[in-house]
Amino acid sequence: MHAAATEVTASLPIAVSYLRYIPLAPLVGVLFHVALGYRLGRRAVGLVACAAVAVSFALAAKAFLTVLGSAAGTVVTDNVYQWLSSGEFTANVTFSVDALSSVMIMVVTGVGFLIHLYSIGYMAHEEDYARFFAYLNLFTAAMLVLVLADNLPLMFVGWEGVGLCSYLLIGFWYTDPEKASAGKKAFLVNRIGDAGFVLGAFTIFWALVDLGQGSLTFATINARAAELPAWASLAGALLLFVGATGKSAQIPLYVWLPDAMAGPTPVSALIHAATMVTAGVYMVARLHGLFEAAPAALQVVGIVGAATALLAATIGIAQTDIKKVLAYSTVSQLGYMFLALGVGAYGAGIFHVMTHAFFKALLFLGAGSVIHGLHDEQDIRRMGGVAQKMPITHATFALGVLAIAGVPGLSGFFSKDEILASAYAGGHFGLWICGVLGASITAFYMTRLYVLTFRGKFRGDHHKWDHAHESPIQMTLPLMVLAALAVVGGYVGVPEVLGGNNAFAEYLAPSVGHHQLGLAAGTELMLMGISVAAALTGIGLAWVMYSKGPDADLILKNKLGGLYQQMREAYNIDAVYDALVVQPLMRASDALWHSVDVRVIDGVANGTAAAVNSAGEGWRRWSTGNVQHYMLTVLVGVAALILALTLSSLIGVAG
Amino acid sequence: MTQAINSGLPLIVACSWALLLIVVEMFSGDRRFVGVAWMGVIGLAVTAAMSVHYASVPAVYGNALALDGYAVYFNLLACTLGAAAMLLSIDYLGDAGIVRGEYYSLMFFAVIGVVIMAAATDLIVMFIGLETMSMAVYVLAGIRKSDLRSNEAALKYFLLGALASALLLYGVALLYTITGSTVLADVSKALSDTQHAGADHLVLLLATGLVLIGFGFKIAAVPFHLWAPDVYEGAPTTVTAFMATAVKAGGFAALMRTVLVALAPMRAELAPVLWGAAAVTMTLGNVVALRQTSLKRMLAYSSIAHTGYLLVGVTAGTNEAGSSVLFYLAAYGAMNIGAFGVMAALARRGRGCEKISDFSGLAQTHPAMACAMALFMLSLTGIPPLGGFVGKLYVFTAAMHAGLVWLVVIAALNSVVSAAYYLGVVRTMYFDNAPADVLPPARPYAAVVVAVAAVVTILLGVAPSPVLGSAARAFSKVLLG
Repeated sequence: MHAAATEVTASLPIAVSYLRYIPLAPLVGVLFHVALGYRLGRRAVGLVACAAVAVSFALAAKAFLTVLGSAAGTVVTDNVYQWLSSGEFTANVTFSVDALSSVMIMVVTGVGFLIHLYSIGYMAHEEDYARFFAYLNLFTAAMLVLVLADNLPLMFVGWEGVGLCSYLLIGFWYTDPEKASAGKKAFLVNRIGDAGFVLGAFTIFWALVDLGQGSLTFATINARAAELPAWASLAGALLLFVGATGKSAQIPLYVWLPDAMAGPTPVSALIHAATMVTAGVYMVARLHGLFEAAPAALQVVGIVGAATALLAATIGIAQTDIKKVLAYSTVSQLGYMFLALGVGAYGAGIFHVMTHAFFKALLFLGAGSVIHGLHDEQDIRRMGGVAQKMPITHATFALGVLAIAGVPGLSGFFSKDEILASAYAGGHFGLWICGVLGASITAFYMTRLYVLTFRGKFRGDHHKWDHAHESPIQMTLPLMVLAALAVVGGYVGVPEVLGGNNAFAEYLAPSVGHHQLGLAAGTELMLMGISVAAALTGIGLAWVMYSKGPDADLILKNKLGGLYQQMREAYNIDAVYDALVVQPLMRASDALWHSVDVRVIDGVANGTAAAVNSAGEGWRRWSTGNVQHYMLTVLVGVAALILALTLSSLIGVAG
Repeated sequence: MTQAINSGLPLIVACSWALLLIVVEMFSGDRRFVGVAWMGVIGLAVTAAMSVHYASVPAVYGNALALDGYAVYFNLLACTLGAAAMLLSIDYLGDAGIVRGEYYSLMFFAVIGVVIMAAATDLIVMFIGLETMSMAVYVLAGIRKSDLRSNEAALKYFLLGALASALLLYGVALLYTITGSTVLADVSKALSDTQHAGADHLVLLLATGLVLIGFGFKIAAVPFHLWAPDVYEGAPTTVTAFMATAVKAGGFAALMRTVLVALAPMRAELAPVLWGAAAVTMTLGNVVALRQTSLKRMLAYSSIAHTGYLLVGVTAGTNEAGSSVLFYLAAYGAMNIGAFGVMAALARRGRGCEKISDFSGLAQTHPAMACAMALFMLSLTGIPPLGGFVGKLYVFTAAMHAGLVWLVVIAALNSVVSAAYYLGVVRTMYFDNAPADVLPPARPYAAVVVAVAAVVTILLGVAPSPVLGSAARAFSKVLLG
């Protein structure tokens, strides 16, 4: 049933020494902001921050053009130094650019640059300007390490680095305790994923050592994956996928991403839409050899992706915060990417990573522009008619909505359609139906968002309306560039059935193989027609319903009953986590602390003992039991230990 | 003979230096206290340099002491940590009203104790090292004579410590009755040559258990950890810094030689016990740390948790695992000296700077100190590319190699939990607002120590190869056979 994937071409390395400067340039920016930022002022900080990313972009483009211009399978590598070495375990700081990572560095530096530029305007009134740009540059550096790494340990450096920066940036407005705790939640949920990442890496490493090749470079893992014992490739792939669900906000670890919207909007665009959250997708594509060797794991990836795509889309319908709608739509779109990976269409998944980066960054920045123009209004029920005041924001946002909804001719259409066609072609009908359904819902809630924000009459406070204004050029310029990309970005991957040659998939083939659909032209066109119909239905329905204003929500509420409330509250997953994990842990901590580890000293310090002769006091306590209590514990420990030793020796004898 | 003298020379010089320090302290007024501290630091540097110079592999003094790679590694570690603690103390002591002359010489003796513990190849000599270290630390913990908490902590530490020492000595005596020797290698040989059955076997188990407890107490392994939170909290911060790092290193130095050399034939019986101790120790440490409001107490539980991680390495017991424990101790030392150093740098009389909330908004008032503290917390969490990450990576990799899959899973989950409380400190410093009465500026000596600790923490993460290499060389000849 599976469509055949062509062999991955053997790699042809080109050694260079400039790749290291791609992550290094933003890192230098960080040092600048920290050391001089407060002295030299805003203008210098903004300039240096953008310049640093521009340098990265230029070098990334150089690497990209090299790969593009050379024979298929070319890999540009920069071996910096041997980082870890002891016994069988070695890891180098080696950066490498192949077809796959070249796409990623172009997206990260390109979209990243635009968002840096936008931030100059958006954060203009911010006191801690230098700190913001320091975090933003640090994030860019970490993200570049993540995608440039040629081995798992080095990727993990970037992996943790982006998580940390995300934490710092979500909590950037630290005066708000709710925002600080959102940041903490993001970090902790990600740590759960990270534990999976590390354990997965260990599993694969020791399985490879057994094959006589203790190495964690992607090339080795992919090349030898087929020889690994089945349990090792399955466990390794699944554990790594746990890491991916954390970083890329998939079921069951997606709960942190909507909360992460507490951060500044450019951060949501850069980290929580365009780059960091796609790290999990990139990692799975990077290790496609491993996942191919564990078909069951790949199946899990596909099912989790499809389920997330659908579930998050339904939540998106019922949200009223402009950024929350976009957040759930991000979770949903990431689900599509995993769906693609799960059916073996890695190229389609990465294609969607790229187009999504364009239109989702656009949508977030557009939302930021609206929030900025309406003086921090985020509730779409109190918006409306904004199109009159903000023509550029409106026009670009509309293009973004059409792109994500999958209207033919725009970027989102090509990538989403390729994913759905691949699912169908692979025989995964269930996943395909989830995808089509999700696409229709996506079109619905994005149109709802657009209509409620930009159409009709303004429903909020008239002071806000009077002061509403279009954003400055630093903010609208990135919008226009991204809008252009959201429109034309898909044309690098026009399928053959529409007269294109799918150049994007062709380009990626040396890295991840070329997934041939193997469908008849008629079937392919029919599938395309179905998904277009689904999208147009969603758009039309929402347009008709919400043109009358946000009260149309009531119709849904009446139709769906309790389910609607669940959707609005995101199915209360947070409460489940709280009850199942957080509260028990806290209770255990309290119980252990109060029963086993009595706070003797505090009791003394809080008492009236200050004037008492201290040594005497100590002896008094000794005789009143606390030290005795300790000693008793020690003796119980002694007994337990001896018992344990005896038992283990008995078992040893018996065995 | 010359070799014997040469190998012992660093210790002889160190002891003489410590005695000299007492004399100098006696005659120097309060004002020359800085000079005494520096004299101590120089003494430690000389000791370290001499031990490197006279390093020799075979054991001397009737197989009682070996200045082998292992001993030299711990010697360098203990001297560095001791010197750092001394430098941290310079301003701190004066302000805290501790102008007691014996402070630096006691710390010097404690370092000597650690050095002896690491160099000992005989259980009795090891015991002498342990007692030298412990006696000095008991007094240091209670050196604030007028402070009730300090006193009670010291008393409790002493009483429990004495109990543990007694148990250890009893265990050594029992081992001697069975094997007829206290030399590690001979004990091992005797144990593997003869099968002990019946009553003999029970006595052997009893002896093993008692010895384990003695060391378990020093490294604060559960259930012998009860003293740690109280003593860490009650002792002056600089002494806590020393205890959390150098004393723990000494405990592990002795524990590893004993368990992996003398008791190597008992491996089958010991492994499950060590496994359980590691799992329980790290879990309890991390879970209880979650709810602490005092930074010192939180770091005490964190240090218990790290004992658990280190025990994972001891449980694995391979060459690879042993050297990873050595590396871990160095990384752990750097980040803990740093964390306590920040506390010591900002603390003033009447304002302990010991609660986590005391650090609210530190990023606004003391950006450099906050940045360093955040670095230490992240390293303790195990975030790459910092020293704590590489340490964990190697210990867990080695344990995985030794087949301790589930123990590594438990350790990885523990790392997740630990992020919550380490991050709490970062959040307080970066996201909370500074109180109206701003903390005073950092003390210069302490600030330098913190800066060096931060650089070392980064270097151990970014370029760990030299230290990893020396740890591997240091451990390579420890295991028999």
